[in-house]
Amino acid sequence: MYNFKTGFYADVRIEDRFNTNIRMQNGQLYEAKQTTEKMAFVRVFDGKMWYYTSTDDVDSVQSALDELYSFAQADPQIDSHPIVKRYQVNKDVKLVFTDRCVKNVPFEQKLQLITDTANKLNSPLSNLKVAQYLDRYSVYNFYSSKGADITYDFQTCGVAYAMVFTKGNENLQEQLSKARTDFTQISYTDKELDEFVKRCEDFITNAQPVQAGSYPVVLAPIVTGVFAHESFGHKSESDFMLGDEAMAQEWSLGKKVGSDILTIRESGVFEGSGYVPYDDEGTAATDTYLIKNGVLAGRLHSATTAAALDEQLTGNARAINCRFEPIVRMTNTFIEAGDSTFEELIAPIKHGYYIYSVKHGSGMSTFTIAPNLAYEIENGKITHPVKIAVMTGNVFETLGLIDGVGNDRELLSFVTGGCGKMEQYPLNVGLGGPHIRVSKMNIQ
Amino acid sequence: MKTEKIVNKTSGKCLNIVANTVESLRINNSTENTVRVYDNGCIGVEGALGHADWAALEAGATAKLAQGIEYPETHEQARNLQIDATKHFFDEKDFVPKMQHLLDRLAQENPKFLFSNKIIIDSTDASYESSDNVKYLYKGNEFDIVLVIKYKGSANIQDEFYGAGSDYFDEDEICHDIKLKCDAFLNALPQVEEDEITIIGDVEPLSYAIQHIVADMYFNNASLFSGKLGSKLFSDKLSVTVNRSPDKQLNIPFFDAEGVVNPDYVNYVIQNGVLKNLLTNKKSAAQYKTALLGSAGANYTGVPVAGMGGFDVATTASSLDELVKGKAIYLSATSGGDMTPAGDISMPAQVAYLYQDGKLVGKLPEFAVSANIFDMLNDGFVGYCEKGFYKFGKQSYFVYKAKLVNKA
Repeated sequence: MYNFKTGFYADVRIEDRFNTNIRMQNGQLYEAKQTTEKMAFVRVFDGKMWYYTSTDDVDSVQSALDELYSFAQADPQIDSHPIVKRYQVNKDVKLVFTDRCVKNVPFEQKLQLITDTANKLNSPLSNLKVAQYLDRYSVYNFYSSKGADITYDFQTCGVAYAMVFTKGNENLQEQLSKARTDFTQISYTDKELDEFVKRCEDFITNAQPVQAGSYPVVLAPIVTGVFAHESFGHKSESDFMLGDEAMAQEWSLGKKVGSDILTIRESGVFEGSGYVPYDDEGTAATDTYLIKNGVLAGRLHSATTAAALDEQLTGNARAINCRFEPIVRMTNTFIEAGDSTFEELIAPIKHGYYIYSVKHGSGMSTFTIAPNLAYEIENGKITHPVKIAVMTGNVFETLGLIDGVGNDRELLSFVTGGCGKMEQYPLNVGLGGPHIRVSKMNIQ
Repeated sequence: MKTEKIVNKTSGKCLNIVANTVESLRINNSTENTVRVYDNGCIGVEGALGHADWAALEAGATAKLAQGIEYPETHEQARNLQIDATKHFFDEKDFVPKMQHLLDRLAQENPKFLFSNKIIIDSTDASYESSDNVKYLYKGNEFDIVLVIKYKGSANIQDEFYGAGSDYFDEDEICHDIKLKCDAFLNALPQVEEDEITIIGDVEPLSYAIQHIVADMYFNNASLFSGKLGSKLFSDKLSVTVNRSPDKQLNIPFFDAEGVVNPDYVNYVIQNGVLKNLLTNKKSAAQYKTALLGSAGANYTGVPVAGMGGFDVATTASSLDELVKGKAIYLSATSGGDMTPAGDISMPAQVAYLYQDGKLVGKLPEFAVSANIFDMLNDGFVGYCEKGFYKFGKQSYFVYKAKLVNKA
């Protein structure tokens, strides 16, 4: 395929990406496009430094490769380099979406879906309604100087209906969204649409302010997923440990990091927005327990971090597209189900909060989650909606404060937003979990 | 009928830094080509990466008029303006050794810390042409340093952060700024007793206001400010503009995605506390019969959208010393803040320092900053300046009073 030179490791990643983006605002068409982009990302490693380039012209990959070789210096021992040795040599064709490819769904059908649904979303408290249909079908090719030759596909499609509800001087923006890998699975029933509107109307009409402080909280599955992703998922990305020997000690596997009922898993094998059968270094997806019964059980790797920490590859080297190099990222991250019902989780709470939906989250030493719809819990019952700007907690403390895990795990996909890590945003990921209870979080 | 051709060429060299060492060099070159056709009150857009077949793009855009996406067809007077704002930083073949020298020095001066992430030189070569004989060409570039700073042995993903964009490179200034942060980080202080205090931060509080001045939000009664255009909502001292002057901005064309160039490149959003204009593109300006701001953005294959490219705050003081006397808190890193439907903002401080008498004294325990947006930008607004304790690049100091909550 390509003329790879000896004395170097090199690989080529090509993505042929088809996208649909349809947006309507208050019944009027604002955007309607279907685009196809084909790009390549080329890497050369000489044992000391990496050299990367990207190109919009996939016919020029060889010349891009040759240009990178000119910057690097050949190393006859490159094949025994600890990073290069780790690279898998997979040969596979894994096209699993061809029989339900969104490219084959007529544009008019996509437009009709959101038009019909948006027409059913009405409220006297809302003047602004934005309906969006988004899909993506990508075919990836990966070739390496070690002989890897992989072809696989990826697909998501989904809808997002955003409405702004107004009462007096206050506004609530909320979104009803669904993402799947099959176009036939992204419609809503009339009952679901009606419940969404009523819930938002109730919120903007009755939501009360909260007094800042620490309270027990129960998180809905989507919020649990954001919590898992932000609080611990990013800490499991091993690149932050590079060059810091003390960190390896601090994060030694087997260390107790959370409550006994907490298990967090990470895997690209599940279909959805976090589906990554092969990562952007050609590594096959694995199923990694990050925390098992409260004990640190694993972490996420690229070949560079796996070599540095002398651990196994996990298939987590990812880039948002062919303009960027792969770095350690999550795929699907979720908390495993426990055995409590929702009613059992809220029953012991005298005064706390139920976080139903979330706008965004982020994580450093303190993780933050910005709830959208939230409710007060009083004496084991949900009473009224509340306005919470931000919920925060120290990562290490909070993982030990999970004292209830529901039996209702969900793994969710998304077509809007995504995960951000420094310059690379948005990356498609999946996340989820069951309802969980945390005995104390800061509410503001 | 009107036709627009837009070409946006970007090129960049990006170093990835891992634990004080240059790990990689990434070279990116990209060309995005767009044709937009306006006719019968509709728009059609076609785009391509790399080489452009202009005839095919125009045919594609013309065909897309049939989609029926309503958009006004505006016409402008013929004009030709070309600006080359490109700066010379250093010989680019020296990029890797020069940055490794900087990193070696940072490691030597701050031995308890590790420095990672990116150092980037980005260039833009953008052109806009329309069938009205309007031709604009802009060339620019910038030097960006965005370092994640980690205290050795810390269990955190990152402990500090340093980011600056500039039209020059100065190793001494960068080292000064980073040492300032690292030294303050090492001096752990007890929590401040005050529950309300002067905050020095970035313009994050304004970002919450800006989402409410989008014309579509405003005119659909979905904004906190709906019905208040032309009213004085904020402090006399607060003026916010779209300013795409090449003298002011780094690597941002003087024209927006719709080829709009404001007089002297400036248009007001907030002027002396008065909400003067909303975020618009040509479509929303026409639809709501309101002013065109000249800050639209667009994907190369997409319909233009209202944006905030060229956002700028007017300075109210020549330096931070003028604005802050005595004690304040400098928010070095916040993350994950948000605002309730009532306009109550909360911003969790990830890294904050006590600032006293012009100096960063030491690192404070965790807390969150809390204020209502109307208070924060009115009586709570102290001022804005671009000169303070940092020396390198473009810096901003947005100063306001706020409450501290959930103090550790």
